[in-house]
Amino acid sequence: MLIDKNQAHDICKRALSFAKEGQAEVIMTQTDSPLTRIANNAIHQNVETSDIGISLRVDLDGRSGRATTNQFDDESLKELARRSVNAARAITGRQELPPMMGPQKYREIPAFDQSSAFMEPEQRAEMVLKAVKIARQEKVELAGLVNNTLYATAMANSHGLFAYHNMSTLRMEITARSGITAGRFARTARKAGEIDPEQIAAIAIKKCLGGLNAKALEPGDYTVILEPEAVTTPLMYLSYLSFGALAVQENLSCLSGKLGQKLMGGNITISDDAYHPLMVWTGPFDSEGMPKKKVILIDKGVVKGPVYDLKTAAKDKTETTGHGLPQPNTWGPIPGNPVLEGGNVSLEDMIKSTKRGVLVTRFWYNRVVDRKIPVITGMTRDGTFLIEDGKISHGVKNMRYNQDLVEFFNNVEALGVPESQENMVVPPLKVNNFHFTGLTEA
Amino acid sequence: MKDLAQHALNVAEVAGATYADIRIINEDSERVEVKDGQVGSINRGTSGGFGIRVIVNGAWGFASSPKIDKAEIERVARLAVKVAKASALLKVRDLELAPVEKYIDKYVTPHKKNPLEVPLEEKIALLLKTDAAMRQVKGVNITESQIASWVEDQLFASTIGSVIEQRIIQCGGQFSATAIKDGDVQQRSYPSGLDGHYESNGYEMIEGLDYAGNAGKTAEEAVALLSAEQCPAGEKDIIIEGSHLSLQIHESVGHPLELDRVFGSEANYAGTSFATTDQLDKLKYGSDIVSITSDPTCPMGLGSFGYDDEGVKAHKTDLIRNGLLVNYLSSRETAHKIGKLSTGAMRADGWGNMPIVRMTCINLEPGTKPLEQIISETDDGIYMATTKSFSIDDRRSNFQFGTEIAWEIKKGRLGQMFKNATYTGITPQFWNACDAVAGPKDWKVWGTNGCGKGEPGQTARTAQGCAPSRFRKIKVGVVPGKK
Repeated sequence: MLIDKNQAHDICKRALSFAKEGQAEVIMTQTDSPLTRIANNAIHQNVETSDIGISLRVDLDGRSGRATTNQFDDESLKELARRSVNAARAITGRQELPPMMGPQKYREIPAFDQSSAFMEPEQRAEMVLKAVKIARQEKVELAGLVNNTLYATAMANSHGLFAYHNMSTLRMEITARSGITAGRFARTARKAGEIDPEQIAAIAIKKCLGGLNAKALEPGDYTVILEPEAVTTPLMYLSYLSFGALAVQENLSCLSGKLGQKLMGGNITISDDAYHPLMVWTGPFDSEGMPKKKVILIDKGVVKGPVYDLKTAAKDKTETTGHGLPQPNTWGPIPGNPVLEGGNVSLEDMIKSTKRGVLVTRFWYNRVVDRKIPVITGMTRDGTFLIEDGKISHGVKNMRYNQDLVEFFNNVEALGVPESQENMVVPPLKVNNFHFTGLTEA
Repeated sequence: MKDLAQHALNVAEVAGATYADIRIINEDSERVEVKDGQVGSINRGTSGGFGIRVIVNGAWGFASSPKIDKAEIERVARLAVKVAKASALLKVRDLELAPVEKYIDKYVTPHKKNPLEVPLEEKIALLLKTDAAMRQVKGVNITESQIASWVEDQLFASTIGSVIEQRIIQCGGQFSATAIKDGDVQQRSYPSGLDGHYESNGYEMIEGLDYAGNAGKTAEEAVALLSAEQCPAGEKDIIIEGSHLSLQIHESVGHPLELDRVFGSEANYAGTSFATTDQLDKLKYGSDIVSITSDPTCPMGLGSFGYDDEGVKAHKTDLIRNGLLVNYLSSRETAHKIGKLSTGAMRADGWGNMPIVRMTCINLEPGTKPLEQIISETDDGIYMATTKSFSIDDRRSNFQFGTEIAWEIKKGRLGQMFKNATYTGITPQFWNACDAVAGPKDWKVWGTNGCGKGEPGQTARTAQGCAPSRFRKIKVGVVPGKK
């Protein structure tokens, strides 16, 4: 059952009413996320889960305490307030705290659909049955999931601010397996009818069968063509590591000292845009209750600036862009909805134009090797192919990469049509001189 | 609560369940952070609820709720049955479980001081003192420290008659200093990297870490790294310090031996394993001196408990004996498939998730020589300490790790400091290259907070016990383009 705007308002109001000292702010979330999981062509986990979270911040004379609970009866909310106040009182010395703001105006983002918010387990089973039927015909085994999520969040404070947003999604992921070879495809949509289980399974199975008898490729520098799910990795890491104002202020970001300078290729424009029409996982306000703005981070390769919260904006004498996390925090703001502007080169044309290169479905176990440059490492997974003379030649064994992300965004040769990847919008890319440094046996 | 639990099981059985269990949980938590001389954040959390797991028509169903009352328990029990019936629409065969004994028991983590009863003021004072000591070192730019604690009260009941109450008490933390100069960022952390070191233990473990006493040296090393040489590349003998070796064990032994992923359950997410069941009792996973156990009875281990989340009593199990693969981390369902009993490794993230196979305390059994002797017997090598980066492929074979700091070993002595140390390898080749494990004096059980697995995503707190160990001819310095 969805906690609607009125119910959320009531919960927030009651939580605030028990915080009788100082200033208070409450964030409420509801997450209902039933999930049907398959492996070896059978459902092996199937869960109906639901939880709410109520997080209360109390500021007393420049000291801030926070407590959270998942119970919203009066006694629990009273205890929540007591714990928040006690936490604030325990603090020695003052903290640099951002202010709590008054009422704000928000742009509405229609992001809720009954068809994805409320599904029966039998409906999810029916979807995986359709996928497995094809897999049995093709003699491969499927793993994957169908997950419908209902999410609602509300925020209020003792200065009269109130914000509410709800959304829903349906996601289906399929990994087709034959021996040690795998192929994958995934889709997320707002409306259940926009997910086609048979199409998702067919693409995953085609990748799997196309990758059988994979050959080892010598590590080295290659031209890569990255499908959109693979592009989310460099964009997400660059966004989280480098595009927040605190990282820039602390001299930990590749943007530090580079404002207005050309850092990346002239074909690279990156923004954070919660309102992009293709954005599936989104909302119109941040965890300080401030409206999210569209922020151009990189414009045709030139650094335009980071995203801000109230605290970092005050330090740079500018305005928040609405990208704050619950305050106070040690992380600073982060872009939650990165968008890489695309082009019009199709994936097929990228392949046709490639003499020798590697097609990558996605990356896996990506981690930071160098915080500031930044350099990340990880592995290819679930569909990696050699391209020779403009055609997919054969599957290749999965490879390890180590890649400087600024170098990466300077080596983009072609961009395709952007598509939705949950909280991101990205195109497929053709990128030169991508560093593969090792390989594995699968 | 016991009455409610029993009622849930009755409702599930009446609705058609051939097996059911329920976990009713309340977890209290606290995290205190200090950054750059100020309290960064304090969060005191509580989360309560219950999860019911059932078998109907030979298939699993699970449902959970944060609202603990009779009517909700009845609704959720019936919902779990409905979910299981949907699961049964797509099954290969009926579920079978390895047997488990019926237990009526209570377990509490051995401890002296409940960390949540230690005043916040005391924790804040310790962190601020640590922070101040780090900031006294010239050249340090960012200082961070934290202490985190959890107390979980759990009631487990199942239709085989078990009723188990557990109180799991855990805490730990970390501090770090970061130095930045000319585009170079170097960090040193204590007592371990990533999010720190944790134990199933009372607050006395925090007191034993001596935060303030180690702050100055840690900060000095961060600054010294800025002018240290880049770690050389090539094939080297490496000695890995305990806190980092703990993560190597976690990633390249613990995860590949989770029997659910061996059987493909994680193929869509966490991945599978190179250590397939046809290699049981055959695969030479490591050298003869490599013996690794699962031991949830290990004192202070973050993965220790009295019973796992399907009522299997904690016990020690050999996984790798003298280098040979002899068992897996298993559940009742997965153990049955290889004709064994469960190793007691089913664990769930809180009340809202279905248990999956997780690490307990995965321990590399100690060798005999002290660390000093292993170093003295190394002619040309590198000593690497404290995790900085970690990555491994989806079959847990190809890995690359980086450490915060390293030192050259020349003719049996530690020499100059290196920065940006990395090494890479293939799991069984790596463990077969192990030729020395330090003895009990250097052995410690390290805790890993926040191991991710499963869909929906679950995090677990696990442990790995080990002593510093030496590995011969490992590929070091693998990152191109590093300055």
